[in-house]
Amino acid sequence: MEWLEGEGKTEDEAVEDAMKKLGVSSRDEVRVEIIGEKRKLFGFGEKRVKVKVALNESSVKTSEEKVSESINILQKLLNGMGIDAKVEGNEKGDNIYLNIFSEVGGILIGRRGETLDSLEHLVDRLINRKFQERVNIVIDTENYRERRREKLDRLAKGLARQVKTTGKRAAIPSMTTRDRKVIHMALQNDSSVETISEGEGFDRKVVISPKRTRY
Amino acid sequence: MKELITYIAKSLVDKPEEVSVQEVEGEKTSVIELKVAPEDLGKVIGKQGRTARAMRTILSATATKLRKRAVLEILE
Repeated sequence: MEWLEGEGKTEDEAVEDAMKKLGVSSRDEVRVEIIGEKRKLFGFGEKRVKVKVALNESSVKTSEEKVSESINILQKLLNGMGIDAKVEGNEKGDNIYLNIFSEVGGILIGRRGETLDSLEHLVDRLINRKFQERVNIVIDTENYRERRREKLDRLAKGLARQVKTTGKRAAIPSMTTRDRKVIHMALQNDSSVETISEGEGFDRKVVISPKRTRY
Repeated sequence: MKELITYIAKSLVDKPEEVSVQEVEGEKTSVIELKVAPEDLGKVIGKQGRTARAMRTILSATATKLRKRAVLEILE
């Protein structure tokens, strides 16, 4: 359970402060524990009360609330970017899928999907601060994720053929974790080649090589 | 752009009241300076700088739309 601390002149104020940090609005949703009270300057001056609060188990949000809250957060980010867009969301398992409908297209996707990935990361961070159970956010627009997957799938299979005929390994540089996964998946059932991710950080790349025969 | 970073930063940190964002506007490039409480610094940077990078990316996208450039500086 996540406890957050709050401070104020009175207990109520302290609880409210902590609830704001937790992102809840009703006191029924939280458990409160008082950490301490202190007075500055020998009892004169301001009294400060410190409390800690945590979400009640019973107020773990329902999935519907999580979806609508995720839509809300993404909508706020898009507004902040000056993008006029509509967001639809649905939930499957632990994933929340958010689909953006807008006129701007390319700007939202970015180079190799990096703007889309960034929005996804931020919504993920913001939503998972608010709820106890972790959810995974997937953001898409104009079916980019599927188009990208198909493109990488073709690239992987083409390179695999090349590797088989030449017997030399081939590397695909500069891809995201997600892109690399697509490559691994595309060739996992191909018994004549193997795929390995090599290098660290930004230099990490997928290498397709002829499968070594074991002796 | 300033509002965008303010919203993100305030939602990420434990002490939203200590978030301050300044925008220094140049002719072509704007510099957005973000300041948070020292203990919240890790939250706006993220694991391996992932959150900071995400903020920079969507800031750039926003600036591109306005035909400008924008840089995010996180002050310590």
